[in-house]
Amino acid sequence: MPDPNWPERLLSLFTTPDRASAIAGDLVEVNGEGSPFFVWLDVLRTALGLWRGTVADAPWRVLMVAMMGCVLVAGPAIAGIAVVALFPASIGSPVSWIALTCFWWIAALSAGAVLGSMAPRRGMAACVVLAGAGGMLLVTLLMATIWQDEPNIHLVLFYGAGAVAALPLLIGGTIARGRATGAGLGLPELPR
Amino acid sequence: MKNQPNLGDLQQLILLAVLRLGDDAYGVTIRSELSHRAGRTLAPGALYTALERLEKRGLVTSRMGEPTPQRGGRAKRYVRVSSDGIRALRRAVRAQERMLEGLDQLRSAHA
Repeated sequence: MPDPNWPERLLSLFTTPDRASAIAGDLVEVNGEGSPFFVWLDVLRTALGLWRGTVADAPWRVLMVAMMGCVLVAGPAIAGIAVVALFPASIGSPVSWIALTCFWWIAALSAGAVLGSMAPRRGMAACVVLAGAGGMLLVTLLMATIWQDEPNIHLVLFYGAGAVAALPLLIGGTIARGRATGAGLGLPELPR
Repeated sequence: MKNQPNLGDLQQLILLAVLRLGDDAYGVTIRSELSHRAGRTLAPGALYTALERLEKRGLVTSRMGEPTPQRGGRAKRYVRVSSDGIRALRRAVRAQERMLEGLDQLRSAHA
């Protein structure tokens, strides 16, 4: 196993750090001397189960936090489009796409961080919901665009950059969760 | 009057497994007990979510044990049924017994 603390880091995204540590210990004990692959498989399955449990416990609250995240992402994302539109000559150029992508990814990263800080228990679950739903929608639109006879390259870039924004959203949520619990990425605890 | 919590089928089984295991009840042994005695193979996520819910409802308590090398230096989280948990289980068992009254075919199959 590359880093023995990664299983609990992953599990602590959806439960308390001490529970995450005990669960990771259980999974290591069950798998004994077996391949680390099976430990990781169990860790992923368990993290998924814990996420589902968090959502099932308070589905409306998680949905509301996810909707808030959607607004937090959409605001700066639209602002990014407006900023790029201020320079009509550069629209469609690599510079405009890089600027737009930076806007979206920073918006997603900060939205994840805000959700993780605002709702320590459900923020990460909401980030996963938002990243999953948004990512799937944008990948579907991307595929539909690519499969057209003459795909519009601007739409491909638009949907592609948007879909990848799911990743910074999750990273933002992970950093905030880690800071809130004092675990996660091992960052210092936030002042209360 | 205090609201008395009802127990679901899985929660009853988990509480019974924890009771049976006594001081050795933690994730691995509870899963194993459920599998051997009740024939229920639980996904780990489902078990830990259920245990967390039971603890939030005050039906079980937990404490951390000592770290052991075979667990990669991680401690076990031991679980114990609280007095509220025992009461909830008693109510569930009584309700089941009342439902079984007069159902001779089930009684004979059970005996």
